[in-house]
Amino acid sequence: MDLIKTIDVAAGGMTAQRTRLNIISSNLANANTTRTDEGTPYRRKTVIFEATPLEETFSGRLEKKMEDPIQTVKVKEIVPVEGEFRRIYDPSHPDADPQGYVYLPNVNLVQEMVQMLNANRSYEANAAVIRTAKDMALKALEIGGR
Amino acid sequence: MDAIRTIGGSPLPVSGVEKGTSPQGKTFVDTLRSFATQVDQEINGANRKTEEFAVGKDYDLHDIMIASEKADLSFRLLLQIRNKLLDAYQEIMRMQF
Repeated sequence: MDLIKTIDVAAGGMTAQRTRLNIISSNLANANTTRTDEGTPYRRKTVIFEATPLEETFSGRLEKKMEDPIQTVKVKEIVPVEGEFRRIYDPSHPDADPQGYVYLPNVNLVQEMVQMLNANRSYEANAAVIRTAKDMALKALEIGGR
Repeated sequence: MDAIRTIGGSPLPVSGVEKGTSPQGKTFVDTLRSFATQVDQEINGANRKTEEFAVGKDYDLHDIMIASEKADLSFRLLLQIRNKLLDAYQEIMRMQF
């Protein structure tokens, strides 16, 4: 059913935004983390989204010649972001280098907050799409009602 | 006048309708039954998802809501079809000869 497809596409968007929020949350939580497995301070991470056709049967996909313009989104990759670590002078810090400098993650709080709002709004937008699709389906069903 | 004749000119093809079967040999009741089964499965699926989430499986919250919404919509559609069918039946039963 077509309206169900709308809902599936929007659901993909919501899942993607949830993943994004998880990454943002990880960035914020580790904004001052100086130790990781790689031996460097925490490196800011970001998600890469990719448009993808809805999961369907293989034959259904062949029929549509893989050209369905309706695509949902999925998280393609989670990648660390290159960039200079913040350097502050704090000789008393256990992770300070011999010159007394500590390297802190390349996480920018303001940037992360903006990303967070963005993810929140995108999530809301997808929820609004689902609500609209449901309203439309209910309106269609009202045709039969008395 | 000509236009009306064009519209009403050829009789509607009614083969297959007399026996109450569709061309595939499936009755409407069969279709309705399979649809009802499908709706039932969908509702069960949504319930199972909710239960699994309740006992700690890692589902996204919106996936659960969407599953139950889908089941709800399918059920409403089934209900409307059933109402229509019942209306038609009662209309026939009320026929006076």
